[in-house]
Amino acid sequence: MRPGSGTALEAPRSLRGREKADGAVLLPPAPDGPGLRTGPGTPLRPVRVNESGVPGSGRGGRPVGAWDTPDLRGRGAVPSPAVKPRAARIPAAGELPPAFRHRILPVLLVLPQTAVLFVFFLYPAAVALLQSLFVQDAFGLSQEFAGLENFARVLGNPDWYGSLVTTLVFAATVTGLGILLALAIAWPLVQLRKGQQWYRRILVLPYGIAPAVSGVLWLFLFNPAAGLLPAFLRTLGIPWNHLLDPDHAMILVVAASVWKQVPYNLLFLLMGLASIPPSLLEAASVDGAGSFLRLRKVVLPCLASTLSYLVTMGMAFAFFDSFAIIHQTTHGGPGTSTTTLAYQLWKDGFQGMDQGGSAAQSLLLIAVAGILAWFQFRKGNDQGAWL
Amino acid sequence: MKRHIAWMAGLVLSVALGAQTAPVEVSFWHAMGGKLGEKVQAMADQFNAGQNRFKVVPVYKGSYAETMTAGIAAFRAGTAPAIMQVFEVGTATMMGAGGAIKPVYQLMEENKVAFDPAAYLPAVTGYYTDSKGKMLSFPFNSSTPVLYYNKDAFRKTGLDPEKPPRTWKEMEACGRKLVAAGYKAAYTSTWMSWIHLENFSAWHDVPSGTLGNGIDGIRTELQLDTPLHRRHLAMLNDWQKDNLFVYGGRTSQAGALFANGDAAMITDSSAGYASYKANAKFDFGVTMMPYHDDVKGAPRNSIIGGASLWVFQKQKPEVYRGVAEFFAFLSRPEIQADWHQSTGYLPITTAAFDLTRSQGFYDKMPGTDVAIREITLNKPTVNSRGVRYGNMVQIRDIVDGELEALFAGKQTPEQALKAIVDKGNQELRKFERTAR
Repeated sequence: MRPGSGTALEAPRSLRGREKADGAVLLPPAPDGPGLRTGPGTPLRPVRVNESGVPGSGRGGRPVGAWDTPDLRGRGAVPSPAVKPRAARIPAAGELPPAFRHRILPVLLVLPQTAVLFVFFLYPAAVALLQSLFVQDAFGLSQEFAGLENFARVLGNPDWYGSLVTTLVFAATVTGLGILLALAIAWPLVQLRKGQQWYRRILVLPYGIAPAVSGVLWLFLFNPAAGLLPAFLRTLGIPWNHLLDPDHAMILVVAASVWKQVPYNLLFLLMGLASIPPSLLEAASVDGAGSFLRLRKVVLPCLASTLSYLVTMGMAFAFFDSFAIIHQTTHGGPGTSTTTLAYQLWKDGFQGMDQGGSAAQSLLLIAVAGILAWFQFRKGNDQGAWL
Repeated sequence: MKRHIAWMAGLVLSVALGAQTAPVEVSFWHAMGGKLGEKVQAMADQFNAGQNRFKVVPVYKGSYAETMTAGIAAFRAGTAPAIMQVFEVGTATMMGAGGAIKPVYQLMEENKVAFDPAAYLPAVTGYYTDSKGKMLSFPFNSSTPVLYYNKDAFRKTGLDPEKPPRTWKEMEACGRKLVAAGYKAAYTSTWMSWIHLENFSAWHDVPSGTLGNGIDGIRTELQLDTPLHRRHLAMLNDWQKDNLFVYGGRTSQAGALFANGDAAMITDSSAGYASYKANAKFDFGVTMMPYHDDVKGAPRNSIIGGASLWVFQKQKPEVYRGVAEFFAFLSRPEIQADWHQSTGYLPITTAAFDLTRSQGFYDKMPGTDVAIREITLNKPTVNSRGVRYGNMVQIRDIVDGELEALFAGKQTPEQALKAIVDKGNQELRKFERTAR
């Protein structure tokens, strides 16, 4: 026990606040014992205090927030005796809630998810880790322990860093544009009085289309010889050739991916917008905030958690699911200008049959994605806006 | 009880007998989709109907790369098919896997099926033969690059449609007239690495790599950074400015430019004939690939692309017997001639070629004999019998990437070829390491 703790004076602010309101006195509790609380005309009420002396904040205890509830309802008064049995039901530190006192049930409940996690994530990851340490021929007839050679080869290849930059540019553009476009569609859509559902249904359609098909459709649109868009661009005097121009190729791949990603973002943003209390927006209007200011000061902060989620999903899509679109449109070219890390590792693994090198690349990809996700989660938590 | 045992014994016996009389299944994984797939099935049906001991079961496994990946994965899992179709760029990988494949010459010998390697076209078998002249895989579908040209465009421009350009110089002269007459582009090409480096080297009788283009050993190194190769790429690069050449993509995408009339000439696989016949709304001709006429010994002969059939190890003897008979069946002149005529792939035996000619096919379909004339133009030399590089898929990818950077004006032909050789050699060393 830390010095000074164990006195209920150090209880959460909510308790202390009430103290002032009703002038209650807190009795010093016996060490490790329940704190007793008296006040004029109020019955004694046992308060369970755990090791650290802070109610409910220790291991196995209930979160502090749970203690706040009777507080608010009590309007400064100590709960009436009728509430007593409820308070007594709060489990002590280390004690399991009744539903989970069963030993096997929780294990059974967690088992399916654990099995899925093991079969589809942990096991393949372990195999990849093992493979990345070996140099092996395509048929698995001979293998040789290579230590970290595969990693050294990948990290020593300047093309890998090129792919990394390509991936980051691609991911940032697809995620950013995908969200901006979705927001630009969602904001007017929620203000629509009639036919909103129909617009929504139509706008969400592209999400049902496989990435490969999306790739083919955009390839037709952008075909330098026969496509509609190049023909239109030619009239503007802009020559289009994504077969040779790296920027054009990137635009093509990004366009196909964003088109796939917008409907998904749209669904979530519509939900997010619908959950903003109209009173907030009305209050802002009354205060004289224009449409843009309302968007900036009310809507966006309210959407923070949705946006944060969409950024993560967009990044995950760009990192891992972009394969089909790239494979259908540019094959990673021209040069290696649209070769993302995922595409490069597919090429080495499935076309080049280089198991070790490919496994090393997949681990590095997981590491890169992991670092980005970590940053995002941290940022999301800082805003207190994580889903 | 005894009656039960007798009954059971009878059942087991009849099942065993039944299994013996049922034909032995020979699985055949291939990458021939659409019409080609139907043709493969028809050939298997014909073989199956002709005898009752074996049943060849063709299974379409997707693209060449997918088929190969599936076959290799199956081998690792112990469930490999008897026969697998592998594209020519996978040849070195297959040859490097001595413990996984059964050489065709050995298969034929062991099963005492009549087999004369001399009956096959040397330019075809050269690809699939080891340094001792033993055939390791069975050539199935082979093609070679040819020049297609738009005869209508030639007529409108005042060029003689029966006198297509033979050399790159004539290509330029001819191309300038076509562009001046308003054609968007004079010339384009499919499969840049295959046509403009691998075949280009063979056609001009220069090596593309050491150790006989890799056929004599896996220590091979690329030899593409030569004045001739530089000059050729520089020419194509310069041609872009005047639309004499337009880059059309890594694989066969450029075909669309020719078929819709934008480009008046194209180098493409001879197997593209049927597709142009069906899609081009103009009269077109087929002729041999152009060459640089100041290079001694050019044109020599072209080399092939396409695929061959590989036999996996660890199959039952009766399955091997079935495979050997199926290969003998596929080699029959009438079967080969039919395959050649209906698909545009090369006939793999001289007899099939002779039969096709005697049937008058080449007179009816002018240009369909260009491919075979190209590969048999001269006796193949060490430079022109074929290429065999490990990690060829990656090397082609490197070539495509560097050429795209060249044609986009981001590097010079010298830089492109140097990068191709440097990065390509790294792939070769990587392959050497795993193939040991």
